[in-house]
Amino acid sequence: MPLPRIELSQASGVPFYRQLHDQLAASIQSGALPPGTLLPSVRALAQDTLVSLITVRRAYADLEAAGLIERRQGQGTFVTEPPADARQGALDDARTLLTDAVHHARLLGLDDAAQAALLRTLLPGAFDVPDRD
Amino acid sequence: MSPTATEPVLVHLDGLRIRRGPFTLEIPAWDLRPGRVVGLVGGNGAGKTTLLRHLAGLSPRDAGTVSVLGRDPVRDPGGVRSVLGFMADDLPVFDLRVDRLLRTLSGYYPGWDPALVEHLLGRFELDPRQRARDLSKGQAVRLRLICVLAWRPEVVVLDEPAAGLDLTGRRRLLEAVLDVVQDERRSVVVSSHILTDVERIADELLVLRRGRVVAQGPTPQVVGEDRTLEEALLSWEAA
Repeated sequence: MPLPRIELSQASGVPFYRQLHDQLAASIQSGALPPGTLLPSVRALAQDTLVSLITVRRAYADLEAAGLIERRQGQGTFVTEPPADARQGALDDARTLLTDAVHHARLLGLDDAAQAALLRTLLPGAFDVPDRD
Repeated sequence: MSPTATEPVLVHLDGLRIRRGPFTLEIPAWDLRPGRVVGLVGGNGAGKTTLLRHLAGLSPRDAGTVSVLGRDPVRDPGGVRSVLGFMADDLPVFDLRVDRLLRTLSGYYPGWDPALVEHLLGRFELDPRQRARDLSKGQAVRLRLICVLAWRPEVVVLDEPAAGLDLTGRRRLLEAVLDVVQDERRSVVVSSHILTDVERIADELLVLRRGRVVAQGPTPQVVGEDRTLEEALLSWEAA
């Protein structure tokens, strides 16, 4: 899968390894780079973004330390698959929070349709796919 | 430090001293390992060109040992130049059409790669039918770069390759340097006054000032967290 475009700015004053790390982390957290995605090799990403190998290695090391990516011996670097029970825990937590939110919204006088419309604006792209024709 | 099986050393330098009139270059120890881009930086008169010309077998030394893939640049300059490609902007270019010049050179280098030459001519936007003497300064630099990259030497040495290049040319130069190290057996040593570019692509630095080593090692360690290479260099120059 193609990597989302990475733009490095020399003027920002933020070190390149940090910019690389932040942009990749954002893509992983937004789901643009889903779990299991094979990331480019250090050399390929350096060539792509015109930075040193050591810069890419550092960004990858930080992402790995944060648990966002993992190195598999002889296969490459992948976006980490979250463990199944962690995902179930996240779903349970989210359900509790959302149940609370729905309850509060009803108390504020919002009916189910209004709440659904609101959710739609908060989760663009999660509902019906827009017509392209 | 001796070469190991896991990390061979491309260039090994020990106790180097080169004297030129009042100027002396002294480098106690320096190794070039494969798969890296090494930036050579320092102000005017630091000794950058002196070092690079010596590595290429173009000048003698007064003391020390130097080995380029096991060859001594003084005793075996021919052997060194079969594994080390040297580019400097004052090296003359024969006044031929670019394509004829490249074809002539191809006969001297067993590793000459015509497909790579095609690719580089395109990347550097050089017209192969132009005569060398009609090239602008920037175009001549691009031609010299092609000449040194075309035969895929293990060690690529570039002395101020960015001089005369415009922004696009500099970008193409960075791409070409990073292309070399896609092959993890090869390395590039590049000297440049354009410190932002060096800091951007160099894995390691060797910093010289008036013939002495001010700093050497991985770029992040040499530069430090809270400053740029330019700021670091200014502080060394002021010291």
